[in-house]
Amino acid sequence: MKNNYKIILIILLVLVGFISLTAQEKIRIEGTIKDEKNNPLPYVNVFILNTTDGSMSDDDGNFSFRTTAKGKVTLIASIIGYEKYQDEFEISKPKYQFNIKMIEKAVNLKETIVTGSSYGSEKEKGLVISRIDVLTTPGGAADIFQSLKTLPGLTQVSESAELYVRGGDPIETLTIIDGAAVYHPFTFESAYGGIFSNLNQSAVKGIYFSSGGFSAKYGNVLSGVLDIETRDQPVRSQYQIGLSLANGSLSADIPIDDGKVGMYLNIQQSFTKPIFWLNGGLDRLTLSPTSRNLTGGIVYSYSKTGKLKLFTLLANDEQGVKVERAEYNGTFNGNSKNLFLNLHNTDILFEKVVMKNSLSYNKYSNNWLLGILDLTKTDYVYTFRNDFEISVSSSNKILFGVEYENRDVNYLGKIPEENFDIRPEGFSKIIDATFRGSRIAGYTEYQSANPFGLNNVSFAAGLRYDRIPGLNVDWVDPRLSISYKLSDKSTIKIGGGIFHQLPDPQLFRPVDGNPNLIAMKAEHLILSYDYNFDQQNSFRMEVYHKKYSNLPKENSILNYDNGGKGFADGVDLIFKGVLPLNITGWISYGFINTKRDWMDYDGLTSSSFDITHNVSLVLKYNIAELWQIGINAKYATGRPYTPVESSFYRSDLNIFEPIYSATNSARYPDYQRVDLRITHFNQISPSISLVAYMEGLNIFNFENIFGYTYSQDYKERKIISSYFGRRMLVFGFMLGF
Amino acid sequence: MKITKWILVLSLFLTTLIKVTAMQDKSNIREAISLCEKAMIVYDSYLLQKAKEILQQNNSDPAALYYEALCEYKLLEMSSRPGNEGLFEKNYESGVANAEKLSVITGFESEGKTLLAAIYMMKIANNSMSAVTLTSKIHSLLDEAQKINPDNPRSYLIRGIMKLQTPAMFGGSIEDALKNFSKAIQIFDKEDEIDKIKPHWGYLESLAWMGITQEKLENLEAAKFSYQKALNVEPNYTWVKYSLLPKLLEKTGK
Repeated sequence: MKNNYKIILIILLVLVGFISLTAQEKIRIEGTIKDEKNNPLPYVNVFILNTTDGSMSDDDGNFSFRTTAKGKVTLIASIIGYEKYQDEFEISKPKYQFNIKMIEKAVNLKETIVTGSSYGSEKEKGLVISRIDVLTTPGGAADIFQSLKTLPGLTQVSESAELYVRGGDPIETLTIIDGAAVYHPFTFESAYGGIFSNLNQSAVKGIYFSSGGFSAKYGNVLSGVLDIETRDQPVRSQYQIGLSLANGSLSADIPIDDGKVGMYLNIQQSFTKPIFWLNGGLDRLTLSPTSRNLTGGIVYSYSKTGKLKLFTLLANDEQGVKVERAEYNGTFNGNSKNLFLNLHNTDILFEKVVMKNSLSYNKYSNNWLLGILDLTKTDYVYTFRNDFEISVSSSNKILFGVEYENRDVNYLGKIPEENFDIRPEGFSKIIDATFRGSRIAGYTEYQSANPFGLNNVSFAAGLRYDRIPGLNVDWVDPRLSISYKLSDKSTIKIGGGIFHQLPDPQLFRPVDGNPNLIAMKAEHLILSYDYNFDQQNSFRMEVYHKKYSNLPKENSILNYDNGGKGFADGVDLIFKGVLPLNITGWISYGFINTKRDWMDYDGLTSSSFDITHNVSLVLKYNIAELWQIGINAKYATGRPYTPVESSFYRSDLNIFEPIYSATNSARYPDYQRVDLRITHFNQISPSISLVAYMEGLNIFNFENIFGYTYSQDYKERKIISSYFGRRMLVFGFMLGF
Repeated sequence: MKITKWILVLSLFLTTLIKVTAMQDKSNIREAISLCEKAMIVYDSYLLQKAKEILQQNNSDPAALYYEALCEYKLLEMSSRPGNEGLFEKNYESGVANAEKLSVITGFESEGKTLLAAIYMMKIANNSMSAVTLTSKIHSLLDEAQKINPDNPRSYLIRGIMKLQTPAMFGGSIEDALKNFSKAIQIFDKEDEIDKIKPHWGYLESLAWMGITQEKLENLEAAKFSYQKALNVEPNYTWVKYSLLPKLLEKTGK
């Protein structure tokens, strides 16, 4: 009996010892994780290094777990966007409490985003038009510029791909590729503008578009900015063949050195003859528009953070179109050549400074021939640009940079003495004028989130200085943007500033212009409201006011002076999202009232880009898993024009001279167009993919007028419609392997 | 009187028979579910097929229907492996049909929609061009699933995979992927009791995908932790044991 007690006592002692030993082995680790502003951080991975003991912080930033680790251990806390937290300690007690403060990484991981309109200087998230939207927008021909035209704030002035931003002339929108300005990103440039962009969408990684109030880093631009970032090196070999009624293309992605070096290339030849043969319109052409285009790049990642990109764009085109005018029926022959080369470097220095440098060369030339008009324009541009972004703290950033641009624009040839007489036998003026506009500029901008402890507020304040030594002209532009987050879903922003830009180089020609013109000026004030319903549905509204001054204005003695002025007021709305039946797309509406007193206008009047109402509806519906149908419907108020009132006979010239009504006193009929596209996407085999499409352009064959031509005495008028504006059927495919 | 007795006895017998059959069915379903789970851990398409066949016979029960569709999803996942070429064709249509049926069964709506999204995701893996038409559909299904049950961890897992596998230029985001995997793991960590017959898979996958994402972000210690945690939960989790973790260790030289 005594022995039994002894045994029971020993067993009990052993058990108690075992239990207490086990309890000692399970050490409790708990605590809270907050950011620098004391906000709790959820989803932080907290664990003991080289063990499986750990957990994740909850919505209040709390975490708790047990560990069996002994001795010296390392506690790690990590989450994207923050510096890794690491704490080494000796386990000696049963419970540990940690109050961890995570420090935001100076340079956050940046992912490419494509924003619609924006006021901030950062490429911020929000309303997004992605590359797939560009690829599948009906009527857009996978053209970046044509697809952007469905956004609000871009007025539908013509079929051209040129961007008319909030009542501004297309030259008032700056196109930048990897930091370098490109002044002629279009093919088939004519008096009606370029039809397509000559930048192939496959070369694009991201697009930032702003229709006003943009950052101080963008200068010499009055209305809008299109900032394009080219793609990185391809990671796998891929080839693509494309063929359609309008063009043929070949592209290749070639990785060279295990993700470090790679190149991509796209060669495209357009031949529009089959389209016009099928759809009619060949009779209007003496040379159907054709173009050749090469887009390519070599990318070298020379370090973990450093990347060098050499990008090239080579394009040429020609066209011959029959032209009917009151005094002369002839042919417009146009051709252009374009070479753009850019070397771009990005790197992160000292973990806090993002550096971007670009060095570019662009040579563009075109020749226009029509009757007596025989004009060759060459445009040489060299640019150098250095941008820096310094992260002062997790919520404060300083941007600064310098840029140098040398632009030589030469006009050589003959232009008509009078714009109503373009006959070969008419009088002409000889032009040989060069505009040399080298420009040096510098800017700085300060960006801050939650400044002075103001939660949900962020702002960007910038200042830039531009100088044109050759013209002895300079200017200073302040810019400001403030945003306030009303809730997780909604943000209100106010932005504005002063913007300057030199007038069109041709206005500096001594013969018919004024070499002493100064920069045009615009003041922007924009109020914006964003509401993101969820990840897929968003709404944006912007109200803006723009005031123009120093615009070029005809002057009887100087040809032009800077006495012009104007304004643009408007509202832009867009909803992008998913509708019932999983229909995706966006609807945009823009209202604008803009008037200018510039060029040859008689006082403040509607400018040629005063398109009061602009509506775009882009909808896509997946009729089956691999089939998509899309519709792009556009409506725009007719463009203002100056009608001919009467005419009188000029016996000295033996033609009639028109007498015009007040400038832009009439409007063309409203613009309407509906494009339809059916796309089939298929992966024929693991290595072969196919995209086949059929597109109906202007399916209802709305007659959109871009001008009038008149009988010899101007008593009768005839419609001029764009040759790309009629109803057309286009089909094609792209085969990838 | 005699007839009444006989009727009573017969009804008792029939009731017992029905009960026993039902129990037998439930036990069959449980067995098949266990088989399906085992197959998912060891990545065995043969076992998955077998489990699917058993579940198919009992798929009037929503739980069986769910696991049948889950087997189909996993078989689609395995279809890209050498030797499994025919799996996609055999399982895609039926997987979609089963998941669609589940999406309207009370109590299974959220899980059914999640599974349907996962199966569409496999379609994209099989035919990348279908991403154009299916991506928004997948996100809509996941939105609906999360609206019905905000604590459905599998919906975050599938969203995370989608975000990780989609190129950034088409809406993918490593940051969003990480947030979704984290959310899934957090919900799984909170789950106390697991009813084996209800949908409960996804923890191991979430840990594995979390590890992959951390590797992409070069947080190799965090990646290793995720993989080891997965193996701690299930030491035979083949994907992590024989592929992800060894590759990571080779990379880190440890």
